[in-house]
Amino acid sequence: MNPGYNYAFLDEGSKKEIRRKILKAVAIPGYQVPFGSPEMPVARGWGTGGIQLTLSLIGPEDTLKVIDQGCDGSVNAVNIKKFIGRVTDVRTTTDTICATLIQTRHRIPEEPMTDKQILILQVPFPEALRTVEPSETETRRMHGEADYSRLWLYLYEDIVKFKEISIGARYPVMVNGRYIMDPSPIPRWDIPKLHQAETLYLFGAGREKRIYAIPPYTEVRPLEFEDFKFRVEEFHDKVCLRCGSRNTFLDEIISESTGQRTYFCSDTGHCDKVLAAQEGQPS
Amino acid sequence: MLHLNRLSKHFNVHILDGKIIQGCEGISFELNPGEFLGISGPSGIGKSTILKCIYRTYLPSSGEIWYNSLFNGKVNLATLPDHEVINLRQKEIGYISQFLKVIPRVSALEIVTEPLIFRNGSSPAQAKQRAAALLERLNIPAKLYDAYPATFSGGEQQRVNIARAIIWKPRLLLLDEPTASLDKGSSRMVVELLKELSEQGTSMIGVIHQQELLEMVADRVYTLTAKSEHHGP
Amino acid sequence: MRPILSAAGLTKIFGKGCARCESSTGPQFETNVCRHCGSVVACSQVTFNLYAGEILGIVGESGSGKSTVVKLLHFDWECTTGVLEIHDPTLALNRANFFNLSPFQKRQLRNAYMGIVYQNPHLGLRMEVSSGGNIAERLIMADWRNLVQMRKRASELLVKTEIPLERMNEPPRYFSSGMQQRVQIAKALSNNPLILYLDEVTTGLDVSIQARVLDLIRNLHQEYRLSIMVVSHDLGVIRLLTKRTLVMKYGRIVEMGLTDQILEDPQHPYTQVLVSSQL
Repeated sequence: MNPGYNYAFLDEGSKKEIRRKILKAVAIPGYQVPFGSPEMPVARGWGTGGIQLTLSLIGPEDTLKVIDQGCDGSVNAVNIKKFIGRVTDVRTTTDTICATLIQTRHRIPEEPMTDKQILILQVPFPEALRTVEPSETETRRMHGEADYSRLWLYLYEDIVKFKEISIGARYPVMVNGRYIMDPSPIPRWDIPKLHQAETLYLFGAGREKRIYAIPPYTEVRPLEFEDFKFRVEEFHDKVCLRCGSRNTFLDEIISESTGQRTYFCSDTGHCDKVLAAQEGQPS
Repeated sequence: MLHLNRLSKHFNVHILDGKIIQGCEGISFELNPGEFLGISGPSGIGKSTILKCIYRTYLPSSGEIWYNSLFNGKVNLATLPDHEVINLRQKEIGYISQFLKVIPRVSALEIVTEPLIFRNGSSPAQAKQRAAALLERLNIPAKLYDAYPATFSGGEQQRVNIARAIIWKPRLLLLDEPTASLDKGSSRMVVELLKELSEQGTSMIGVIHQQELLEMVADRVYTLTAKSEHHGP
Repeated sequence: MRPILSAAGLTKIFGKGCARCESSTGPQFETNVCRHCGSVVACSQVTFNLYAGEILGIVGESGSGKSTVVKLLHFDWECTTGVLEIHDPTLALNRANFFNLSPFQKRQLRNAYMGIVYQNPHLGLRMEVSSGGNIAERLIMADWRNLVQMRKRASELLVKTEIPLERMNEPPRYFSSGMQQRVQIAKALSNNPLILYLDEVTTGLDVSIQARVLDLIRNLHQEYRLSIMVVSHDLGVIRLLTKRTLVMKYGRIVEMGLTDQILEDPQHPYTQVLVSSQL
C-alpha cells in the first residue's frame, strides 16, 4: 500500500460525509441525496461515484469484485480494481459469491446476492425525469410532490408511436411506492433483481453528485400500465457459445469480417463458473 | 300573481352628457292567475318598458314588482338578486320578443325542443314530436325544421320565436308585440295558441297593437295614456 | 341557491407595490399604473360569486384585468390579496381561504376540479404530444393507469368536441386553430371539472369556426351542467353564452348584472360606451 495516502485514499471527513449520505439514502429509498463528490484520480464520467461509495465502505476484512458490463476483465474494471487495491491492499475476486463489496457498471450479477454483500452501481445520470424535464429545480419539485404524470405520458406516447415502450436500459422504477428512480443503465433483464432483494443496492453518481439506495426487501416496480406490462429482453433460442447457458443475459458479438453474430454471457464470472462445473473442475 | 306598485323607469344616458330619458312612470296594476292582461297605448309611451322591467332586462328606477313565485313565495322582481332572476326565467317566467335572437348553428327544431328538454325534462324523442307538432300548427314547413333560422323570412323567424317561448308552458308569459311581423292568418293562429295556453293556466301580459287581436285574447286591458291612468273593464 | 365559488377582494399587483397603489389607479384615474411606485394594479378588490351551473361572463377591454381574475382563480398566478371559497359537497378540502392552500394542494385541486381553455393553445396544450396524449395526461394525473380505458375516454371527448378520431395520435401542432381550441376543451373536460374557465377562447378564430366552438360550449354546458366563466372582450360572445356578466375596467368591476340588462340597460357610463361601441 502506498503510504502517501489515507487508507482507501479518501480523508476521513469525506468518508464520514459519504456514509451519512448513504444512511440518508437508505432511510429514503429511491431519493437522490446530494453529496460533495470532490475530485478523484479518475476523471468524471469514469465511475467516480461508485468508487467514492466503495472507498467509504471498504475495510481490511472486505473482498472486492469490480465488473464493467458484467466483465471482470474489462480495462475499466481492472483499472479501478488496481487503484482500490493500491490504496487498501484488500483481497479481490471474480467470484460473486465470495465478494463482500461488488462495484459494477451497468449490470447486476446473475447470481443472487445475500444480506452480507453490498452492490455498488456506477450511475451516469441519476435523474429519471430528465427525459421529460430539463430543469433541475422543476424535477426536484416533481419528486417532492410525486408529480410524475409527465413521465407516464412519455411512456404513453411511446406506446402510441411505436406500440412499445422504447426504453431499454435505465428503465424507470417506482421505489417503495414513493420515488421514481433511475436504476442506472442496467438492462431490463436486471430490473426484477431489485425488487424485495436480500442485498443492499447503492447508487453513486460522481459527476452529478448524487447518492441513492434501495435497502433490502424494498418494493421496486418498473413503471407499467395495467394493460401494458413490463417485459424483459428475450433471447429466444440463443445460448452462450462458451458455457451453453440459456438463462443469462447475453452479449451479442458481430464479427466485423464475416458479419456473423455470436452470443456470450455478459456476466463473465458466472460464465467461468458454469464452464468449470461442466468440465468437472472446482469453481 | 303579479302586482305592480308605482313602477317607474328612466334612463340616465351618460354618453349624452347625462341626459335623462323617461321610460314609464307610476305604473300600478295587478294580474290574476290565468289571466291575459293586455297593455295598450300610443307608440313610445312605455309599454315595452313595463314588460322589460318585469323581466328585469331593465332595472326599475323605483317602485315594486311583486310576483308570487312557486318556490320562493312573494318576491319583488325589481330588487331580486340576479341569480334568482335567472332561476325564475328558467323555471317560471317567459318572454316573447318582437324578433328572434338568432343563435348560429342551431336548427329551428332544436330551438323549439331545447326548452322542453332542459326546462321540462322531456326526452329528446318526445320533445321532437311536440316541437314538430307545434311548428306545424304555426305553418312552418317540415323541410325547414333542420334549417338554421338565420335564413328564414321575418315571419318564419318570429313563428319559431313564439313556438320556443310557449312550448314549455311558463307560469307567467310576457309578450312584446309577438304578432307585429306576422300576416293575418298566422296572427290568428298565434292568438288561438295563446288562448289555449291561457286555458292551461299560463298568466300573460301582452302588448299587441292590433286592436282586434287584443280583444280576442285579453281578459282585461291596461291602457297607458300620457298620465298613465288605468283604464279597463 | 348557494354559490359554487366565492371570490372576495381579489387583488393582483405586479411590482413592489405601495400603500397608495389601489387608491391611485382605476377607472376614475384612467390607468392601471401606480404613479407613486410604478407598479401595475392588474385587478383590485374584485368580488363576486359563481353559482352552480351558470355561465358567468367577464367583459372588458385590454388591461381591464379580466384574464387576470381567471388566472388567479385557476392558481396560475398568486394573488396579492384575496379570499377564495369553493363550495362543493364532494370537496374533501374545507378551508376559509383556498388561496392559502400549499402549492401542492392547489395543483391537486386544480387537476381534480377545474378546467381551463386559453386563448393561445400553446399555453393549454403540449404541442409535441399527441392530442390523445394531451387528454391522457390529465387522466394520468387522476391516477388512471389503464391504456384502453384512457384511450376510450379520450376518444369520447374527441368525439364530443368534433375532432376526427383518426387524429387522436397526431400532435395538435398540425391542427387548425379551431381544432386546437377544441382539443383544449376536450382536455379541460377530461376529469369532469366543477368549474371551467374560458379565457378569450374564440378571439382570433375565423367567424365560422367561432360559431362552431361557441355552439360546442353551449352544448357541453347543457349536457354536463358545468359552471363556466367566460372571459371575452366581444359582447357578441357574451350575449350568446352568458346569463350574467361582470364588466371590468382598469382592474375594477364597474358593473355586474344580467347579461341582457347589461346590453340593453347599461347603468355605468363605461358600460354604456362599451355597448354603444359594438359593431
